[in-house]
Amino acid sequence: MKILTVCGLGMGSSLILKMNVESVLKQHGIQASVEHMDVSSAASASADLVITNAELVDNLQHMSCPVVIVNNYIDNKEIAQALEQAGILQQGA
Amino acid sequence: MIVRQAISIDYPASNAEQAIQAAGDALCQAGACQPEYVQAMVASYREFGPYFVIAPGLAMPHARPEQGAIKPQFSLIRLREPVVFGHAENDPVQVVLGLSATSSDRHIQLIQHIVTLLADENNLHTLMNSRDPEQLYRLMACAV
Repeated sequence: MKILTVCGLGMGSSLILKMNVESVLKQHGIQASVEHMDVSSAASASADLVITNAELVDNLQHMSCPVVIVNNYIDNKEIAQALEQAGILQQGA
Repeated sequence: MIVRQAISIDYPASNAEQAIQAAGDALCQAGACQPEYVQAMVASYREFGPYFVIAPGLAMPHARPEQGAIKPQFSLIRLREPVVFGHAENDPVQVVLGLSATSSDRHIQLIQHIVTLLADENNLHTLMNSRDPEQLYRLMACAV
């Protein structure tokens, strides 16, 4: 499974989000490759899931995979909820 | 990770661009970036909006490495009054962590350090609420 975390330039906040997504996945024993990327590269990339925030989501509407929103990049509970919404984590797991 | 001179509190910014400029100027004065990097930080906000407001009250503006970053480092500007950046969920911003972003492994390490620091609720509380620059410096410097 390939997950993209996306921000404007692809090296600050998306990297923070990537690290926290990896730690949530690890807590739940889920294997996935998580890459961080800028919004224009992500628009032409392929992935199983894209995670970004409400500010950038409109740029990624055309992607064929699900796109979920996380607004607080350092809140692992919100990250876990987004992963549940995407069906990657079990509800209430 | 940060130099003491790159931390200021009670900075009187009246809008987001002034706050980003202050965080960039602090990086520049610390020798972490060129002046054009600071302009690029502001330009990035104009182009992409406030996506870099990563948590409630906390912004982390930066630019691209090739836009004049010299070494990976943070600056910390605590605003006298919270400022609206235009983020739907995380406004208003109280603390601005300016980031000089390089493409090196040390950049990754720097981000890993801040992630580890912010994962601790006590640290986050200190970062968001302390008005003591020395305490903020110890907090940030300890994470190296």
